[in-house]
Amino acid sequence: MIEQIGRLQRFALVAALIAVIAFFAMFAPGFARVDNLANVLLNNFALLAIASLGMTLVLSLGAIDLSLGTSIDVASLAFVLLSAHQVGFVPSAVLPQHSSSARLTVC
Amino acid sequence: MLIGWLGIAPFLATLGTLFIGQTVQQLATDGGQPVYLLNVALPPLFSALAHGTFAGLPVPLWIVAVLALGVHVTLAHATLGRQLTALGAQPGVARYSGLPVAAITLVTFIASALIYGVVGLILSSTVKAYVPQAGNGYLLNAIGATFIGTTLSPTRRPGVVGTLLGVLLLSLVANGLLLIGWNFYWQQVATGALIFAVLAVSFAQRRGRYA
Repeated sequence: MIEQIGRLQRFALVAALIAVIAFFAMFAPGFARVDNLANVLLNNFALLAIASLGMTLVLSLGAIDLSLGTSIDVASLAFVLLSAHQVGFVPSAVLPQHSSSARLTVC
Repeated sequence: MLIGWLGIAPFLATLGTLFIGQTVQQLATDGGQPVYLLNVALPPLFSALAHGTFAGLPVPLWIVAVLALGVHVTLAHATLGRQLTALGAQPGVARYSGLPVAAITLVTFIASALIYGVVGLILSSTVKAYVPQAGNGYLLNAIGATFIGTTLSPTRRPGVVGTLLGVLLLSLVANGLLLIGWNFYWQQVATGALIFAVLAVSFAQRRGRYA
């Protein structure tokens, strides 16, 4: 009995997803349209998903990384500054990666 | 390095980096001004990063797919991933069985920093500017999504599938509430309540199992 309930509860997340989709499909105008859902995937989902994948690694280690936001900002800033000085795409994209990880390595 | 070799708690060490990083940005931008790229000839790849499509799908979604696969394979199948998971589940045992704890920790934090860096690049490409403190909005959502995702695993471990579902849940809620016309601040309340709800169900199960 407990096992069965446990199995049901394990999928609380899936149930919540279905409930949320059903709720908004009923009450939010335009929610269930393909263009809106594609927009969610691109504008809401993608960036947070990438960030959360990094956090998944760290949490698997049993640790937590509060510098996620700062890492994103530092990389963004370095990328923009390098691009502004016309360094070219490849170095502009690669160097911020080093600044982002170097910061962690120093710390 | 602080975490691995000096044994400083990750929470505190990354909190330290948070402050240092913020200060570096403020120094580099006159106290946190946005940097715009309006009059600069940008390489075409710059905006392709956020706005381009490849084989019919937007580039950011391809990046998500590739990284998700990479992280999943690493965690579930690679030696490093298994060591990492062991260290997370049983730190004491992992240490005594001779795993290179400091090295694993270091590699993990560098890998995650590189992944955050990708977010930063796409973010810049999306708005063609550096917006101060834009990344911190992701911090709590990412932690929340990953923790929501752990409810999918019978052992409460973080996993790629759970994380992605958690992110999907948060994204849909944010979008739906926006369409209903809720105030932004109330969206945060709703997100918090949702995290509570999923975690409450999950922990009710844990109590049931060991009672």
